[in-house]
Amino acid sequence: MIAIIGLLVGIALGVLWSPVVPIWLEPYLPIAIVAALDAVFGGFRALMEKRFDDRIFVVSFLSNVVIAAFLVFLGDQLGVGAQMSTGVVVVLAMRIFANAAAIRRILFRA
Amino acid sequence: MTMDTDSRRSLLSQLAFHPNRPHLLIGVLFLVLGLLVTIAILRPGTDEPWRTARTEDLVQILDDLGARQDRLEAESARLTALERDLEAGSQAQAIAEAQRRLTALQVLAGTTPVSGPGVQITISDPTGVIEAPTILDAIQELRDAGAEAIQVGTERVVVDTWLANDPGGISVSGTPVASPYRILAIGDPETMLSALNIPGGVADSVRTRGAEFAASQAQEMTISVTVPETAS
Repeated sequence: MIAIIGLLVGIALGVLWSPVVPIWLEPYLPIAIVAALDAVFGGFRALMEKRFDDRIFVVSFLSNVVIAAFLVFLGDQLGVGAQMSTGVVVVLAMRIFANAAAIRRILFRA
Repeated sequence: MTMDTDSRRSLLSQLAFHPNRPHLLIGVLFLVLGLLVTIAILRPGTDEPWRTARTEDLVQILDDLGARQDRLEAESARLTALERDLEAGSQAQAIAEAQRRLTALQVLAGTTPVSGPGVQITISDPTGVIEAPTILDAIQELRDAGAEAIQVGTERVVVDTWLANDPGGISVSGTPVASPYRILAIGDPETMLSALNIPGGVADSVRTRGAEFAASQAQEMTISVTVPETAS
């Protein structure tokens, strides 16, 4: 419940405040979002499988974002920033799909 | 079925409102996520085409624009200086400028002899395989390469010069010209020679037809043939 409230408050804040992203942060924004989504889907799946743990969720959320951003940063430094971004997004998207499939199986038994 | 309802109930219980520390933390994380998503979606300027262009393309576009700006600035400086000179009123300068333009136009119109660096081309065609289009190609190539004045045989090539096939050679504006065809062109010799000698260019096509093509550059040559000046 509190998660949904947080999400709504975040969206409202973003719409009303619409902060300007510093230019150096811009390449990491989409990656951070996908990484966070991965953590959210993982947490939701754990919730379905009744093995959800607050601590694991928080840690995985933060570490996902940090590692994804670090990988992209490393890629930028090595001159393969675009490919690294693509790679990270592909892997995270695959995980999201896998988690979504598990959630779907439990929720709809299909 | 029972497991299903169980899991649904547990989902509901998990979603229920239990304000304690870890839940607050999760709430904060979701707040951040929502904020990020909204920022990413509402980011200003996402519909600009440059945002998605590749770096190399952007650099190319920037270079092109820079070169264009330099050209236009040089042109602007020249015209501004000219305007200032003309406005400064000295009649001599106005006359000098008019004279300069007159000379340039006379060169283009072919009413005045021209001298300067240029190239001399000789196309020897003993078997008669060269036709007017080949000579026309050569003339066009020379013009593209910046030739100011061109002479074919004994005829000055100007804006209304025409070429046609003729028994025993070609006809340049009605004057028969026979092999070997001599073409003189005033302009930058290096540029014109490289334009003639590009693979598949004029020199190549002349040689593949079985005629001989020779071009030499001269630092000083004169095209003295003129066309009569007519008032029209």
